[in-house]
Amino acid sequence: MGRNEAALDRWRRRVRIALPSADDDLVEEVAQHIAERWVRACEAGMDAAAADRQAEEDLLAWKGRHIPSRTAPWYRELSWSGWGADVRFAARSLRVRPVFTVGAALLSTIAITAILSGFSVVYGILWRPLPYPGSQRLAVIWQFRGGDLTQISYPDLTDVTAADVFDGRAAMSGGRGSLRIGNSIDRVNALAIEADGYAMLGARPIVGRLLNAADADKPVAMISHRLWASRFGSDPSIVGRVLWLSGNEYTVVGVLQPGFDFELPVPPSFKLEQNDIWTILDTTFPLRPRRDVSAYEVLVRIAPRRTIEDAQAVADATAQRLAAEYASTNIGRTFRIVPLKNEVVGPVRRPMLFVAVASVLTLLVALANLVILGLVRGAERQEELSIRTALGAGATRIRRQLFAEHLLIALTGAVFGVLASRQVVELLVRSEAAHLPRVDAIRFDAPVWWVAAAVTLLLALVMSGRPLEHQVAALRSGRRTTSRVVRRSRRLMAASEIALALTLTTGGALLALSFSRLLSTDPGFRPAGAASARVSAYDTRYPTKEHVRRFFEDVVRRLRDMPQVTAAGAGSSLPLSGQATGTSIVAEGRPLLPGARPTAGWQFVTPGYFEAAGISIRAGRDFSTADRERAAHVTVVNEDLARDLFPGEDPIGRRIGVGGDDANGDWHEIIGVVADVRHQALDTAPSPRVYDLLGQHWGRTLYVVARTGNGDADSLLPVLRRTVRSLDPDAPVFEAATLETLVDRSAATRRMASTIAVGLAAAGVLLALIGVYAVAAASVAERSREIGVRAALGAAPLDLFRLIARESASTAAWGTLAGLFASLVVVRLLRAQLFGVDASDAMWLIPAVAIGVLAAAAAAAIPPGRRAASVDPLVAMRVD
Amino acid sequence: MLESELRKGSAEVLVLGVLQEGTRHGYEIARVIEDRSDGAITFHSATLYPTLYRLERKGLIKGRWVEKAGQRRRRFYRITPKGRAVLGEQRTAWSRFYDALHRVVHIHES
Repeated sequence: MGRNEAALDRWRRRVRIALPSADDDLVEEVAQHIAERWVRACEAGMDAAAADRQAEEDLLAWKGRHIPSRTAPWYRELSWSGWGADVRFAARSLRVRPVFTVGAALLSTIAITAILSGFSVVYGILWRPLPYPGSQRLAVIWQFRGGDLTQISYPDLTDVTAADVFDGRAAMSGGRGSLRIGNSIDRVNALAIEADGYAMLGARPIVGRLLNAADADKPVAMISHRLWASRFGSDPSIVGRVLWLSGNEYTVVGVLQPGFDFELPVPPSFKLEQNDIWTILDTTFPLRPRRDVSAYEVLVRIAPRRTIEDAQAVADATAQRLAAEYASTNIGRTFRIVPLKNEVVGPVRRPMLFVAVASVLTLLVALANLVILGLVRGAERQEELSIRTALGAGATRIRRQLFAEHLLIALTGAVFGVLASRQVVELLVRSEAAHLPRVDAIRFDAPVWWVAAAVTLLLALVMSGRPLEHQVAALRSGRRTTSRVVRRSRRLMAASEIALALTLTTGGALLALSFSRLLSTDPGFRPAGAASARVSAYDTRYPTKEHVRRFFEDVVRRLRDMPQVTAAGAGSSLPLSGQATGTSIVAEGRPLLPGARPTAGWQFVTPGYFEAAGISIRAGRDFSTADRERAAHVTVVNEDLARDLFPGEDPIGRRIGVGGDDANGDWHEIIGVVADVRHQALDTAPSPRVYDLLGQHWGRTLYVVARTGNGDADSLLPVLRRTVRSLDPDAPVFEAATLETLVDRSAATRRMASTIAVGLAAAGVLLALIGVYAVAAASVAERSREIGVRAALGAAPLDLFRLIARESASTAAWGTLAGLFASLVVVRLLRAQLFGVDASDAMWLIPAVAIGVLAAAAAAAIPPGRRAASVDPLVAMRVD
Repeated sequence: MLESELRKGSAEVLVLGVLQEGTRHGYEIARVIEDRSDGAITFHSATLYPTLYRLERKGLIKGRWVEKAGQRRRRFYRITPKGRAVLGEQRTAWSRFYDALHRVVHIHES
């Protein structure tokens, strides 16, 4: 024993030196091992020097090896080496199965596009904090009376905000004005706020100074960074310049920081965005002290540690007190305190949540498909993996390699998904039809990137996780079939995907058909080659009706003198403008039935308007300048009105009363009949309409229309501006557009709806096809032995193909059947949204879509079916 | 990559195979393998101990320091039920691999 102990001691010391990082346990085991071997060698007759050499060789083998430890934390055991090899291996094995690779990458792209588009929009609009300091404490106070939220009177707002539950308040009032800079005039939005408001909103001057309370009632203003950059070329000497705004002069004291804005929380039709002129609220406004004039908005800040509920309680108590003190104005009047964020995003909360749900659903469907696809792939690779396991590849190693493959796929999906979702979001933000608030808060920044990274990882994990466990379990047990339940649920999923795809495609096809019908609708006028702009005549320069009439007649005359202009006119309204002035009408000599009050759209025009706007005259004639001099009013009506009032008769020369039951003897003689025009919108049928002559009736803001013979309507826009300027450099010209643009805008909402629907349908079909493919492929992979036996027993390739095709066909048939029912529901739900599409369209469209989807589903099952047909019985049966 | 996996895989199955028969300490395991293979397979301590540690971490074997009267303290290893199950699977896989190998070699010979 003595010799052994001595040897052990010696080798212990030696091992400690050779393996400096080994812990005591390992040193002891290795030392015992070497010492015992050394002793045995000596006992067998080896000389000590040779035994030493043998032991040293053993120790030398440790060089560069990982030193194991029982006490080291788990992550020290992870090997980071070989990742490069894993990625190369992954890329290679993905290339071998292009269908799987492309399918999975496509699914990942769809999933990431859906989730990023949804998230960036919903996060930007609903969840991103407003860009004001302490924005969660900002709120707006509305007056509530008779079911309506309205603005609030100045005395009321002073009383309500006096309580200490508020630690800041700013009353404000906004409006539009005409800003003259040099020779051009812009319509701009102006916002007047009490001085505290600027601090509450975190305003900073980047040039000059901020407005303060001392600026009240002084003609000074700040301008937005946007206006400064676009109109003043970011001129640093802007401070001190005098701006002419709607007849008043303001001295610029500063420029606000870029992006600073505040959307006045008012109903959308009055919505003022992008305020360019900022002033201090006027204290001398004569109606300000009146409690019966509710003309202010008010922004408040809730004091720290107080809640909206506290503030509401205070406002309720104040409302009661005021109702008692000022019964004549304040009875029935209460106040509502609404958090600013709710105020801004409230109306879109529901649609936004719908978007969120839709994108998460798409993600889930894509994930489910990826799981199936991963299972298929796993089943196909079982042989390869089981051999590699046998050869000693650890589960970790295999897991890592599969993960590398799936991460590559998910990353491909992420790259394309990010690109695609940016396009989708861009489309959504740019479309005026969406009327989304806070679109500038929709940005691809950190939160969106985090979601992208998380979803990418999730996709890779989902592809690797479940399928892998399935494989490992199958490897362990040697079992190669999946349970009935799994197969059933897989087929159920593929069938529901087909149903979903069919439903979405029906919806998309209906909306697209409706959109194409809309575009081919005759608007009743010829938009091509014409353009219009709105022009205002101010009362300071044109005090009377005569001045206004002469100004517009001059504008029209000058336009006609332009070489490229073939026709010009002006009117108080324009086709597709949606301007809805109406009047009641009565035909002379035809007493109205009791309760009947026929109404018609009404507007006034200058002579030449019809030709310029492209509205054809069906009977009679256009107005002439001479008509103005006649004592009796003359009028032009549209065909619809003529049919209504004078069915089967010639309306020319008949008289109608406009604006009252008996027209007070003010009868208008019909001199012409014009074509029916879609006045409200492309999808709204024409209605009866009366045109009167400017001069007999008047207004200060008119649409001026010009038409050119050369077809280039865009070239008319500068001509319109120049012509008005040449007569009056201060007259604002705004909303200049070609008539074709107006037609486009009128179709914008439907264009967007049909684009989104078609996009969803395409994604749905793609998902369904991948689903059908994956399920059929899974079936082939799992049944390879059965297929092999059949092949060995003499089944022809076609029989084997049929075996798989039958399964896919029944899945597709059930899915289509369910989809047909769902489609009928969709048709009912969409009916109100559809234009020019009726039941007979649905009768051919739904079966056509169903056949298309069914055919596509069948096509998706062909590649797996062919694989079944080409199974080699020997290979398939040789397993085990 | 394949080569290192092969070495690792075979070491594990060898160790499990030896421990299936009973509890042994490290040097004994190496000696049994060496004896049985007539010296064809020798284990360096640098191969054996990392393998033992790895198998222990996976829960396939369990090691314990034992001190008997008059003998030095040694660490003995025994196979766990999980280890037995894995050994069973590994046997099947290896025999399939040998079959395959044999088929390939056989085809080449004929």
